[in-house]
Amino acid sequence: MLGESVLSIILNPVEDDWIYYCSFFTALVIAQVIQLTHYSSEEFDPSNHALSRDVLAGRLWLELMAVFSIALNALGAGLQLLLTR
Amino acid sequence: MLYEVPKVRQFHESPETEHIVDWADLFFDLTYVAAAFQLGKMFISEVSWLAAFKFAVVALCLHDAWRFKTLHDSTFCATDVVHKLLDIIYMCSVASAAVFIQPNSAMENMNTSYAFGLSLSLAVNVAVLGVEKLEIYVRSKVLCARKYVEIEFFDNVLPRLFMYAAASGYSGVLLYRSRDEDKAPDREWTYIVLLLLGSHVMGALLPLLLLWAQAVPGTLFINCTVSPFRFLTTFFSFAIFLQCQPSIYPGITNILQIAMELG
Repeated sequence: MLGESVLSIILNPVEDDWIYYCSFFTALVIAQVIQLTHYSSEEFDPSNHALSRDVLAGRLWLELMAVFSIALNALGAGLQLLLTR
Repeated sequence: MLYEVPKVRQFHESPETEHIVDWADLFFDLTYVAAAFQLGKMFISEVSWLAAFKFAVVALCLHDAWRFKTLHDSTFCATDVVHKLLDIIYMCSVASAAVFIQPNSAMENMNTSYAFGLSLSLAVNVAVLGVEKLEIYVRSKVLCARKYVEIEFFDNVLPRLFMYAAASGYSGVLLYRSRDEDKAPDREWTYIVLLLLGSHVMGALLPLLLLWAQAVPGTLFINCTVSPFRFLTTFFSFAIFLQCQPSIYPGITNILQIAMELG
């Protein structure tokens, strides 16, 4: 979904305006910061992961990932909206 | 090899091993990126709370298609020709769903096949997943694998299959009826979204509430709850939903009527 955000930012008609360029780079920085935040807080050790902790934690993690994913998708669309209007 | 029964990648007691992502996984991920991009276009086509709600439900459906396939592939390993073909059908259904995601103004028009195509693609998607689960249940000799797919089938596959099939039937009936009309009612797309949402209420929230109620510590793959109870809950929820919402769902009789007209 982060890939979709980057696509949404890049695949826009370029406007020759400094406000557009400011918005463009700010949008890229936002996507990068979210990516850094996500991967720095992600648990990569399988034994400590929520999926292997207990059944409720695993299920909650799965459902919250769906919410996170939708939020990321909405963020990408919002950034695109920001750049096109 | 032409066909072999999928193997369990990792048993719970055995040492953890890393699942190596192959090129096919990376290739298939591109489909989901394209689907997410289509969703983004749908989201910005109309800025309202209702549009945001519809976007969230459709996004949830696509996220589930990704999640269940990823979990299945992380649990079972199958590299034979038959399973590769099943993977291709699965990805085609995701790509097809992505194609049918259009701006809300287009989805609301029941003269177009967007809502029907999206619902049918999602139904095919879940059906393929169900075939894979059933295959392991029937063919595998590993008891915990059979128990795992049994839970997955009743928790995740069956409720979604019911609801996506209901949404497909409903949108198909509307498409058939509105083909000669100039304009179809706008609210029908909202009803289809509600049907899609129903799959998550029954497929995700209900088992989660059951787990919460039982509060049994254990592991995701080994801990088993009462599957027949879940099946009955899902089945009766679906039946009640259909019977209590005659204005939302035209009912089986309408489908039979159209089938007779076609015949």
